[in-house]
Amino acid sequence: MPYTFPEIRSFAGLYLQQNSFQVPDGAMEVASKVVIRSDEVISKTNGLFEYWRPDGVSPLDTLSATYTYQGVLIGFFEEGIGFFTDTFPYGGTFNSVGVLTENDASDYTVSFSVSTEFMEQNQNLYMTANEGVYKLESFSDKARRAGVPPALGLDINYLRSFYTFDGILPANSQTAYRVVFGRRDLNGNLQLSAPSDVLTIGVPAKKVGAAYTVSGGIVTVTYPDNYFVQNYVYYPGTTNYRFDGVVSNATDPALNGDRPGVTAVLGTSLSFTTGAANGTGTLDLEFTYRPNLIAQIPSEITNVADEYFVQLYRSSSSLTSTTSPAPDFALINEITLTENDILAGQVYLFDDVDPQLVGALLYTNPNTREGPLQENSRPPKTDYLTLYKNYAAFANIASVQRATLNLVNPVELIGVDLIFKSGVDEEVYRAVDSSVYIAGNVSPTRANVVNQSPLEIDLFYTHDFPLGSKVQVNFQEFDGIVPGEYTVTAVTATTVTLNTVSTTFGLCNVQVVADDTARLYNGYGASGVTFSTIAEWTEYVTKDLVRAINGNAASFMYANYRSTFADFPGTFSIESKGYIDPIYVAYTATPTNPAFIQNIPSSFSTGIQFFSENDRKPHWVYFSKVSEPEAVPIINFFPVGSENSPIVDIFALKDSLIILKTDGVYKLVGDVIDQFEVTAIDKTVKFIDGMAKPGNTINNTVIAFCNQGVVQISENSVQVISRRIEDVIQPLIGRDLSDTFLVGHESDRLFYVQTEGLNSGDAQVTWIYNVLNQSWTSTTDVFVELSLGPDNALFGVRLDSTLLKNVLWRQRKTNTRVDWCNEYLIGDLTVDTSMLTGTFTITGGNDVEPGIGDVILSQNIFNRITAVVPSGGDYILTFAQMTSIPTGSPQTVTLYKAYESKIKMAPFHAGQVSRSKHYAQMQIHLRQQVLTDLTIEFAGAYFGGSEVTSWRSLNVSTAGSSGWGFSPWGLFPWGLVDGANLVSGTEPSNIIRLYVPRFAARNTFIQPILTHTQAGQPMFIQAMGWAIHGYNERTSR
Amino acid sequence: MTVTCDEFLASVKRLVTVPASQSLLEDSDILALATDIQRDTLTPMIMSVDEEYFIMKSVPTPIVVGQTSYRIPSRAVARKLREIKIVNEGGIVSDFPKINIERTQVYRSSSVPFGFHFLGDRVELVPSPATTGYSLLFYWPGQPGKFVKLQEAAVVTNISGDDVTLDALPATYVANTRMDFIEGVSGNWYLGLSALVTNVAGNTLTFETGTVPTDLAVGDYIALTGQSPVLQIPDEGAPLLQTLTAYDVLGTISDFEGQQRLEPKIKLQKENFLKVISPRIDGEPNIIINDRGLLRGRIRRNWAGLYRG
Repeated sequence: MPYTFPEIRSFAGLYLQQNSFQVPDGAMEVASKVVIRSDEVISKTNGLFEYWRPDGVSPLDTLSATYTYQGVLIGFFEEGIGFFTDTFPYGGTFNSVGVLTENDASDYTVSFSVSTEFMEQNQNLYMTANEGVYKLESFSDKARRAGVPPALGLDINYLRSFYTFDGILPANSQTAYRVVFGRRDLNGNLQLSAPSDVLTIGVPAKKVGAAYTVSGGIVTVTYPDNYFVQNYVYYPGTTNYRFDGVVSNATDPALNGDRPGVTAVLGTSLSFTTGAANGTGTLDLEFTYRPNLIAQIPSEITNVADEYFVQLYRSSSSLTSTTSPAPDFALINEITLTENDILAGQVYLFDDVDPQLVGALLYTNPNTREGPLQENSRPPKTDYLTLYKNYAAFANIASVQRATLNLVNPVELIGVDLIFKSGVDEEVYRAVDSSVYIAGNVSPTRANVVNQSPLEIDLFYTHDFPLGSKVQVNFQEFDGIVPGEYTVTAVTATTVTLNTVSTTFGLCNVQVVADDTARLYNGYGASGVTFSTIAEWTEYVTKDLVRAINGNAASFMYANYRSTFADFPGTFSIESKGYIDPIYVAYTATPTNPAFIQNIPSSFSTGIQFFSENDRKPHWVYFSKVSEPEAVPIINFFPVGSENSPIVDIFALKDSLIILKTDGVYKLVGDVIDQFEVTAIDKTVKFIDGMAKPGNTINNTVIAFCNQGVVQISENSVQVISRRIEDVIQPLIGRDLSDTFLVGHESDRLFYVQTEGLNSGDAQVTWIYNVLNQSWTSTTDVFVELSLGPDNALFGVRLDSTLLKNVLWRQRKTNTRVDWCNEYLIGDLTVDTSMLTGTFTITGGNDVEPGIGDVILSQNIFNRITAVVPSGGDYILTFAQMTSIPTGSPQTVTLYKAYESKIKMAPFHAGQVSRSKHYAQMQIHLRQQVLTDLTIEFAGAYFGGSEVTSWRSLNVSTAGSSGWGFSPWGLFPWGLVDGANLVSGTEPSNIIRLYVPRFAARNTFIQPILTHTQAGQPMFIQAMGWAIHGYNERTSR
Repeated sequence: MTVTCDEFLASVKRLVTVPASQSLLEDSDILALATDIQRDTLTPMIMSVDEEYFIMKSVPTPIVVGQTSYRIPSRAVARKLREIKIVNEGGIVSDFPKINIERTQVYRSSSVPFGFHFLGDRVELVPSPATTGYSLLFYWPGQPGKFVKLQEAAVVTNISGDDVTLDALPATYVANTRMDFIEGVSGNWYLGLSALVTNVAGNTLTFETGTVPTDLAVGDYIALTGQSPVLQIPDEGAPLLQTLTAYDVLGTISDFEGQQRLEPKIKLQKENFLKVISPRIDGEPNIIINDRGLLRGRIRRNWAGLYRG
């Protein structure tokens, strides 16, 4: 019977699940470091080389992930952020070394894991740090927490009264204020914070018929009904309080008219000079206000270079002093924060803007704008983020800690500290009792320099600072003292002496925060002022506590006073700055009566505890405002499926947000948030929580790992794509897949699934899927993270087994045949006169040694190494052919390492499994002459292996090892050389032809096993042919 | 012209385009096939013309009193002998006839063996020798050596007494191995067999005293005993051996079509080769001599024949 000559011209990648006698002829059972890049053609995967390794000096030591932003590769470390730039220390073309630049020391507080996710919007880069969502505005800029910290309390610094028509706030009215902090980022994006608490200022109506007495040119008017708002009517620069009002209807008409410089006594009376005769009577008095406000600056704003600003918004004034103003806040002032503002933790805002000249409406205004529920909250802490329809989406979120307290009995706080505790961190706030003016020691308050050296400040209240404590002093409106932290060296009841000096005496505003090194004692007012009602006292104390908390820059929380006009006073909320453990609240001693409505214990270890809570919603997806990724209203969330089943990742496709959960795959559709709608695509596909990256996008689909293997998810369906390799995928279900991650390489059409080996303890493996021809192959190159970098090359974070630290590898992507090389060495090569051997001295490059199959690239020609003999510290290299590298003197050359690719075809039985056959010959045909050496063995029905055939193109060359010419030719088909340039199309190439060895030749089926270990060769196997003679006899005993 | 095994291999591969890289048929495999063909085809074919190809004469074997059994030379083709002679102390060579076993009882009275018969793989003398001073002289067809590549043999570059210097020293050449000496020119027959190497120093082998052939020359080959780096047949037989080997190579890969295409060529080559090797001398045709004719004396097949030659 003559030969038959079947052949395989279509290579289809791995088929590991199907009946192996029924798979296509081009199916493979091992496809290591190969890929079906061109349809039906076997190619090698691209090579890799080490790009960067930690130097042990930089604080950035533990690389977790990389991302390319603004064309620059950014490194995300457990210790912060840096960026890499290419250098070519040896002048080579292909081999770059990554130089790491640390962005900013402030980044060392931000840490990243291998699961870090990224999103680009508004020219910024957003990422999921362990501390929340952070962003970069420039590749070289520091990492910033996304969003602007919320505006806090807003208070009156003073109210300056004016004549009837000079004040901004008219008599007999209420006017509300809010502030917003913001900044324009480096890319020109306006970021605004959530607005502050609402501050409402009431201006009394004309006081009609107030009694007065004129004595010696002094008119004294008394107001037992506390006509003036106490405390706030302070005019700086004086020791008294002054009004500029209008008197009318006086019994003595001489008293009528504008009355500047009225001297007031807190809340109860006022006096002014007059030329009128002594006497008594009544008069009418009215005035308007020009307020000076104090806005607390969130402690996260620390750097004047960030150019934060504060915007002051004012409502229209109501028509009576008993009517609340409308929430029609409009911008009246914007001030860039100064360094002193930031140091002080507060900023003064003066309102003298005519009501006709207001600016833009506050974005949270109801009806006219977005409404109060659209406050620009910062993005929640999230595991997953992406950009969908210009909305930033955050999934599986956790909010900050929040709690609300209601103070009802402030007197109980005298002598009883409040402790706030999160984890091991504690903050103690102590009520300060004084018989004099008390403003809370973290609120700016009037102080007086009574001694210059050492500096002694009279705080005008009884403080509680122990000797030796550290005191942070920030000064306002006073240049005599350098702000800073000082030590308390002496104390009196109301003064502190600090280890610094002042250049002048005088009154100043100061803010003092003390630290006794054991706990922060943040004082706030508790009593000392006579209040007409318990409500006033409660409000006063609560606001002071809020200021104390917000003034504590080291605090783990912010506080906001929440009571409004319609509420009982004393309600305030606390909100953690970061994503921390619950905040517990306790007294240091049991008060006589409860101070709060809430049951606050006096111990963290006994009793019912009071603590904050945060939203931990694993099934929620939050959305930002459109094109404002840092503004995330707290109501912009969409629950997806059961709360019992967390979201494990989200991906934005063209018209859908694909949501992977442990109970199925969902999609959210809609162009605007009002139309967003969540539906399930498939609830039988269940994803696995805890994977490093369970999916990724490619070709407008999502490819992800789930209980059914690897699936490809379109906007409407889920398709299992790992069916062909299910035998190595499905056994992994139930195993620890925390290291498993998936990455798409769009331009290469390739998708990488790195996961565990088949058996526990096996090395990890990366499965490679070509999304266009649906072929699976694999590689043993594994990483802890893989991402696309500059030049469209993959960058992989890899654990170095020697260094025991992560190093960074780079895929070769130079679009030359060097792309099929691995690591490189730089060295001096001295070629001997035979032109076939040379001595190689390593001078640089990766931490490898030369080996057989490596190449030295010179004049764009590969010089293949066939033997390596160590010689002292050098290596004697033998080349496959005469080299064109000049002989005699050392030449600096680059050596490229080879890597092994291995293929084992599926059983080839030529159509009849049961018929014994003689597989006589095999031929392999290439697309181009890009393969010089191939090791071939065979498996079959009887043996797992066979004699090994080492095919070498030199064996079929008629030119021996010398070739002809300076750039030897004749070693390859006519006109071709073993060079680095890519070529297209089909070119002449040697045919790999061999007899099938005896152990494998007589078989019912045969499986060629091809091993290629030559650098700079892509293989390009296009056909595999056979000469087969069929037998008639039995196939086995 | 000497045909080395390496040249032979190249010719075979060229003939059937054996892949340059393959492990089914290593060079040693192809040479093994060729060796087999040498044994089963070429040697019989050459011997069939009775032109004394391969015939060797052994060193006389002394007849020992009482020892009737003597070994056939171990390298004899088909365990056969071309002829046996008996030599007396004076060097007189006499015929030594084969006596059928059925007639051995007839020859019981002589102290000098009268003849022989084969007994298995031995030559059995009749009657049993009872006197000394006689030797047996064997003529026998020697086996060509098993083919090996040149790298497994060596070329003589110098001869000095018992010392023979080689161009290279294969790893298998160590002391206490035995070597064959093979002519380096066409014919490539043995100059000496199974010489014992007593010492190896560099590329120089020292042989047992007296075993280095006196006619060994520079350019001759040395191989492990029983091996040969050259074809030990007439050069004109090389193409036939190549074709037959190629035929077997094709058989190993089930290329029966290829074999069929070689068969006419093989037939032609056999015919031509036989024509070439016989007669071995055209000017001296074989003449049939009747030794027992009336003019040439009585037949030797009696006891007195021993003394008449």
